[in-house]
Amino acid sequence: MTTTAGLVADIAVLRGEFSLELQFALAPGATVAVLGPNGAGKSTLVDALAGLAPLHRGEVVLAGRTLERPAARVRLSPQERGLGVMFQGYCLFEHMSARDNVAYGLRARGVARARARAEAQAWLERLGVGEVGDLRPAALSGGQAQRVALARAMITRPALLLLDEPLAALDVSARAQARRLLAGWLAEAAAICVIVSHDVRDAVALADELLVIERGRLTARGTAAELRARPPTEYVAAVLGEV
Amino acid sequence: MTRSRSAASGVILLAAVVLGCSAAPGAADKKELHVSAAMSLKEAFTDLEAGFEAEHPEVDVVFNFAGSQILAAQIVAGAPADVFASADRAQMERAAGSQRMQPARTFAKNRLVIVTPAGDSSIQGPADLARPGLRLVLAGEAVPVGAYAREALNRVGQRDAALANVVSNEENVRGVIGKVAAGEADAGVVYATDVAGEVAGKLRTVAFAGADDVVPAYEIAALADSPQPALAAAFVDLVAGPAGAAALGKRGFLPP
Amino acid sequence: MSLKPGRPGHAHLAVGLLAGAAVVFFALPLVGLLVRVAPAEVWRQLAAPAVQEALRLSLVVSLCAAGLSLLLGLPLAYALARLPFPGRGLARALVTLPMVLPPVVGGTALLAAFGRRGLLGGPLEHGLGVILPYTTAAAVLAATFVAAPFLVITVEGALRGLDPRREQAAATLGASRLRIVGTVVLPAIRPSLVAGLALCWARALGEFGATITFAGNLQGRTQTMPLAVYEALHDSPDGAVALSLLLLAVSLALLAALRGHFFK
Repeated sequence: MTTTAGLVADIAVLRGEFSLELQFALAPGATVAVLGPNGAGKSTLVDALAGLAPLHRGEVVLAGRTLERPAARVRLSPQERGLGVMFQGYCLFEHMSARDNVAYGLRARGVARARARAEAQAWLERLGVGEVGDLRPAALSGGQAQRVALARAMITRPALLLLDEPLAALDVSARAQARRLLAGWLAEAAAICVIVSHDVRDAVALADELLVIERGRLTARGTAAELRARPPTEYVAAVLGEV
Repeated sequence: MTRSRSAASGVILLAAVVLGCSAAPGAADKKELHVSAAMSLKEAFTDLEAGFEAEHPEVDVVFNFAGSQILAAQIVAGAPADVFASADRAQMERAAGSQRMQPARTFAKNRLVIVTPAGDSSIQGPADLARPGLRLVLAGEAVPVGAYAREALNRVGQRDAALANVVSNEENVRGVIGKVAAGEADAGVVYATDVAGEVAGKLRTVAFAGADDVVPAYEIAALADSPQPALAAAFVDLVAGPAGAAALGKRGFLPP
Repeated sequence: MSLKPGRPGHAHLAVGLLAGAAVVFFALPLVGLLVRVAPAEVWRQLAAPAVQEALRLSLVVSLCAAGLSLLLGLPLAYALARLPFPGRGLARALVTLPMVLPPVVGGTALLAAFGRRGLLGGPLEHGLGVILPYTTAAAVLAATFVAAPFLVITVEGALRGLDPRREQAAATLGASRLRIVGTVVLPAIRPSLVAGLALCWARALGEFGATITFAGNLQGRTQTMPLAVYEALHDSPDGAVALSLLLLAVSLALLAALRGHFFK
């Protein structure tokens, strides 16, 4: 099942009393949604993949490159991993314009300011928010901020995109359209996409496959239809029953 | 009502405390005689206190020891005092400018010496104070011992060269002693009487040769506006009389 | 306690009286300074060479102290806020100590460390030929000793209040630790940094006790404005008032400039 071109994740993280332990592998270009109740360990999974929470055992291998393997004392920093991460609540840099936010990853890689800004502007236009380039994050609407954050994560064309609750900050009226647009952009990106969500509708709409985490363990994996047909836990049965 | 009354009584209590503090403690049954005296007189005057209080049991002598220039400035500014003892004539005259002073009397003399940290033998006389790179501490120009030191250096022809070595101007003679005893300065110029007590062991004394006619002279006077002129005059008489001479002589001062 | 509702008048009156007394207590000395000397005389006094020298020296010493505080204090604040090293609590207590320590004790302690017979002063003198006490450098050290904690504490508080997620976001985007500090951390704490630096500078400008103890009192070398005020008090009271008014004006200007930071 493992492909050297994809993602292999064998993760064990300890955070105080809480432990996250799960294994999964994803093929190149796969888009999966990680679904689970609050406190199940979804954000810890994002941190572990991004290098923000150290593994205590296991490994993470992306496209044949070992990002982390405690047994071999390998642990690449977040900087070295080159992933695209869209944080919950976006975490935009408040003192920079939207354009400079998007250009940040290129500037960190040594791209000249003018070129980085031009490319950032192009990304903003591609995501339909070309007009907000000069605005500070505080002046953006929820939908605009979401697209700026997405552009910032995608501009470096990462092999793995991690999106933590990408739609949670949007109000209901904007949500359906945003979901559709996001699905389209992710399909265009030649990246493995891992989308963390507590909302089953978002998860089902955005991803081909669902990974369900409960209390730090992987309890189910499959398409929505498969899981609905044979729900392995009460939680899976309950949430998929809603859709 | 109770609350506002307690607030009001709080204000009154506070006022009482502030006023109580400004009227010195122990004043209830004794009269206080305020004596402002030059820092170098501290030990000798403290020796005289017991005798005076024995003779005047109703009196508590309260000393204010500081550089004479500070005491003179306080008197000019109207600070309450009964007696002023200055380490030089200049500060006594400055105080007299306030029209508050009775005529002054010279009651003691002193001698200038050079001090160095104990164990340093490189300084043999005033000429060595002009040696380039030496770290010299004097009292400030307005401080009597600082003024005497400058005059004495002038007398031996080393004034400008020595003043170029000054690293700090202290506000009284004890400041000079402290800096030299701590080893932070190579030399200082002080009164011979200050090299006494515990600190003497940390100092080496060198005579200030060649300036014998620069003689520090102390003056004392009662204040004309003292509320207890008789007591003030009695203290001046004590200091300038035989008992004072004995106490001052014991601490190394010279007769006037 | 019989508390009658509807009669808060007396309590308010008492509070008002005390508050009024407090205002008078703080304002009266300042008024006293202002009426003491005629404006023309103030200008004449401020033009005196000794005053000019004290002014120049105070600016040099306080700015150097602020710069040194920034150089040492910024990394220290960062370490205290972010790096969980052993003894961090002790380090913070030590750094805060000069804020509550009587400055003259600070000066004595500096002598014990950097004086000619101090812990480091001996090796400094015999090894490098450097003698610190009674130099302008000593005045800078004394001012830094008492003033740097204001910068460290202010900046550390701001760093603690910062959301680490933004820095993590910058890290995932490939920014080095240094770039993160420069592009994310410093801009985010800039208001606190400016306020801390201003407080630090003001404290350095007003430093007296540690300076006179450790650096001595010599015009042009270590006699900063507060020392000049103190000395002038005994031989030129008008000069002391003029210098005090100048320091007062600087403090007021600083307070006005900082209003935005503290009362936003």
